[in-house]
Amino acid sequence: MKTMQWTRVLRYVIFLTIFLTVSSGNAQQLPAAKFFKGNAITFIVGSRPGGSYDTVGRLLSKYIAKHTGARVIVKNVEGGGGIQGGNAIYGSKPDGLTMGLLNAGMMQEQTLGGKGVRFDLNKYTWYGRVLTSADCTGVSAKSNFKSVEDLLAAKSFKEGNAGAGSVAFLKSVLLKKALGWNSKMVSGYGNTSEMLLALIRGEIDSVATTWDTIGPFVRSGEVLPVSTTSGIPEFPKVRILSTIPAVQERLSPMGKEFLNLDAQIGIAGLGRIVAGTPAIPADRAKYLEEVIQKKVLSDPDFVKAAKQGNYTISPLSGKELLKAISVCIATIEKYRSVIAEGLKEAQQ
Amino acid sequence: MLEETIRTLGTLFSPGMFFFFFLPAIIIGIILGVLPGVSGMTGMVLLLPYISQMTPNQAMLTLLTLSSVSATGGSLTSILFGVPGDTANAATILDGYALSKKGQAAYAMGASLTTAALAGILGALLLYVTMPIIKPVILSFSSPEFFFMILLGVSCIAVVGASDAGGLLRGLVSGGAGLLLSLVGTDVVTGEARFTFGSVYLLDGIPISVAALGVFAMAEMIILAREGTIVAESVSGVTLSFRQVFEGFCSVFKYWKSFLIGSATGAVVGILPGIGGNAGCWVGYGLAKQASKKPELFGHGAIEGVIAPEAANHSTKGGDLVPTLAFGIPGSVSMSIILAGLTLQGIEVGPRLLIQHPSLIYTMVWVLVVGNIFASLICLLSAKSLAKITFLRAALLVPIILVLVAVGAIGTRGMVLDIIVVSLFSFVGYTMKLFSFSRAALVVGLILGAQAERNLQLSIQSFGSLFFLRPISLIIIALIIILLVHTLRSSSPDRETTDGVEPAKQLGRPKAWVLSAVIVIALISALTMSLGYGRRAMMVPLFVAIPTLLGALFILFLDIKESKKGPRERGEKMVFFFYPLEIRAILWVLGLAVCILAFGYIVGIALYTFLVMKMFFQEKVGTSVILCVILSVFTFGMLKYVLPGTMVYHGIFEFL
Repeated sequence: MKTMQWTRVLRYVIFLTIFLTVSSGNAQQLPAAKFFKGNAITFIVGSRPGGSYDTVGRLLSKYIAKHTGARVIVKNVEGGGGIQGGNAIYGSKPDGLTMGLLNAGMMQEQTLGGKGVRFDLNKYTWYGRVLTSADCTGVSAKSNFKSVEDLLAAKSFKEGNAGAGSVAFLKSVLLKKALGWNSKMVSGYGNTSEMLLALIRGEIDSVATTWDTIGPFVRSGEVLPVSTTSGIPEFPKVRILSTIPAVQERLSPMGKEFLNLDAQIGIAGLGRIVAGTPAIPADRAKYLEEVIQKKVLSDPDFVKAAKQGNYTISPLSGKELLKAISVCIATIEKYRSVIAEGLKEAQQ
Repeated sequence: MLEETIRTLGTLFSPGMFFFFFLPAIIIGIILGVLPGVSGMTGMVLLLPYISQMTPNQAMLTLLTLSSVSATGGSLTSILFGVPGDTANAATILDGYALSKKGQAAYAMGASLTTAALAGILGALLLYVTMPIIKPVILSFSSPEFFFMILLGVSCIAVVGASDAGGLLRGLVSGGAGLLLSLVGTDVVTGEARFTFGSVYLLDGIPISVAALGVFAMAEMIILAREGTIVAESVSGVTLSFRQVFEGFCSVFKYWKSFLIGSATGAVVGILPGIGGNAGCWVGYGLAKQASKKPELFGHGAIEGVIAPEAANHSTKGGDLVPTLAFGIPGSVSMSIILAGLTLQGIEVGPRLLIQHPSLIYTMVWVLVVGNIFASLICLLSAKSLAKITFLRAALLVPIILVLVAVGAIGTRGMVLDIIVVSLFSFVGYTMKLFSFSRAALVVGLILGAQAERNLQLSIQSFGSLFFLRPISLIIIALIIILLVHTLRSSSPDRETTDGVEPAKQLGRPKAWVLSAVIVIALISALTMSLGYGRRAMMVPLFVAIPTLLGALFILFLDIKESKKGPRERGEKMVFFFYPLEIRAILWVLGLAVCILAFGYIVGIALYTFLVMKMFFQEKVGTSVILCVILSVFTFGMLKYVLPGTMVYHGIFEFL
């Protein structure tokens, strides 16, 4: 009798073990859509809450949740100008449940050997570009500088930026190298808002940033936009830098390549890019890319919200984005010594 | 305008708005403020996903209420346990906790909560009155003015740490050390890594709120563990009553000067973006002390030392809104989250925000007024009950506070290594208190140092080396000189330091000079390392390290001289310069970090709680298990629901 009871128990245990093993295996083989539905996705933003990257990240995460049925939790991983966020995404479990916003500055950090870099941009699972915001160089409306020509002719003018390591800093270095203008970098502002305030009160003469930040100040009449590298749809009269005759006269082949690089790695060019951990199962990667590129970016509510935030919907597939990144990295590598020299000069 | 004002008030008190948005935001804000290291900002971030489902007024009301009332909650823990609910509440500890130890926690809370309500009203009035005219005022302040305003805050280090000549010097050396610690990390101007020892973790500097938690909160727990008593030491004859609370309420009117000084300081700090809101409470404290008829009482339970910093904290919120609304530029991180919330609502934030959405300002004004009044009322009604916590025995209080602090430290940035930082600083804080170095001055330096350097570098780059010759800058420089001269004049011998409640000489520490020697060696190392950095990157570290080192050398000389006066052993054999019971207490408090690192957040906290109660405090098994379960469940709940973005660390179990 006792033996029969034990045999019965053993049978149940064996059955349960087989069942659990098969179930867990089945969970891994679930179609991607079913896998994400009801699951929790961590969306990493490599900056503090409230900033422009954070706002975009939260907007995206809301619509990713809507179109996948997943619960998307935004996690702010600050530090190193986005490096810590990039590291966090890179090192997460490759199950598709971690993704986040990366930034163009990471290309500089990876190529020029930034401290703390533990990622390889070529290995992320790229979901593509979602938004861009046109870049814009602006001066104060009360300033004596009214155009690019004025800046080019100036003996010296003060250009504000956040500090070495930021994308804006690299942009300033590239523009200076490309145009040969006499900009004097004033580095150390905490964020673009502080720079704009400094511009309005006359502490600095120009700021190069993105339309989502500078746009409201242009509309209120406090800032005058003088140039853009990629074009501002809302303000078509703002001249594209490479088309200005005075700029064309000064551009060397290296300068042209730098302007092109600047347009690509913007701020303007790369915009807001989304990636997941390397080596995610192919079906999940494909599913998420399709959700983001096709469903989220064409959702009328998302489009409306993006427009109100001064962003342009700019889809670019993961594959195309990786190509663009590779070109940028190759250019930075090609001009590594020139860029490093520019960075060093700016730091003196 | 009056019509709009009254209409907005009516909307605020409509049943739907009041019971579903306003009141819950007040209660959640208070609770989040009470939790160390967690603030209203956490609540704001948690709410962001739901913002787009609210109307703009509902969103603004909820976010701003959370932000403005959390400081009210934070003051309670500062007073009751010496644990800052937020970095901005740290200054309240100096006198608030001292009052708690005298069994007057209810008195302190009455004053602090009344101040919160009144300062909130002042802040709202300021916002309403100055909005039409403030733009030119803000634009007249540039980086040089910000730098000197911060320097004014730095000079308050001297005030905060001063007593006799030795105390002033120790205060300045502590502040200098804090300034140097603030420079750890990546230099924002040059991108150079300073004092990081090759560590990626230190590239972003020492987390200020985590360090403040360690220096104040955990250090106090070492003392409680060592003494094994209760917070309210001198309790005979003290009755906790609403009478005490009422006396605290009245004290705000009695010491109206301190209230006004604190409020004005907080408002100015809030209005000027570029200074940082955390500086306000310390500057307010320092200026109130200078203006007080009895400055010697500050740090030992002066009620003015509670009123001034709390007034500064709460009026900062109104000040913060001014640049946010005037320019669409956030005056603080909380404001940037509010703007992000408005952006998610589809509202363009910028200089035209108020023109396009004028009703928002009325909502903000009423939130500041009514929110702070309600929060204070709720807390005042519970003040007497809350004050009873100061009578809880150390065996219960210490593990609870340590776990709260640990969760707060972990949740601040989600980095497990922060638990090491908070533990190290607890040791630093304890030792500093023992040897009469000012912890407050250290924290002020830590808060202000990086901001000061940034504004100094911007000033030199924009205006050249004669940047100080601007009119407003000259006025602020004059104020600084007056403050320092007054501090030097009013310092006299034979007074205890503001922060050091138990000077080392009273406990008989024959080797007290060892700490001074350690500080000197650390400063020499910092100086040597600075010389290896680039020209621009070494400037400020050298400027700070050299005078701090000179001060430390003089203190070392004084300490060696003091030690030669003869042994004052207490009869116990010392290990180095600690008594055995102290070493046990220190090790047990540091043991929390060891448990968490080894076994992860939840298991580590559970294990630690049980072990410390059973083996250190000799509590019964049943009590130990119950508290262990409660704190584990609390930790789990916090990580899952309040701090869901924190990656949960499992210790060795991650490798199994």
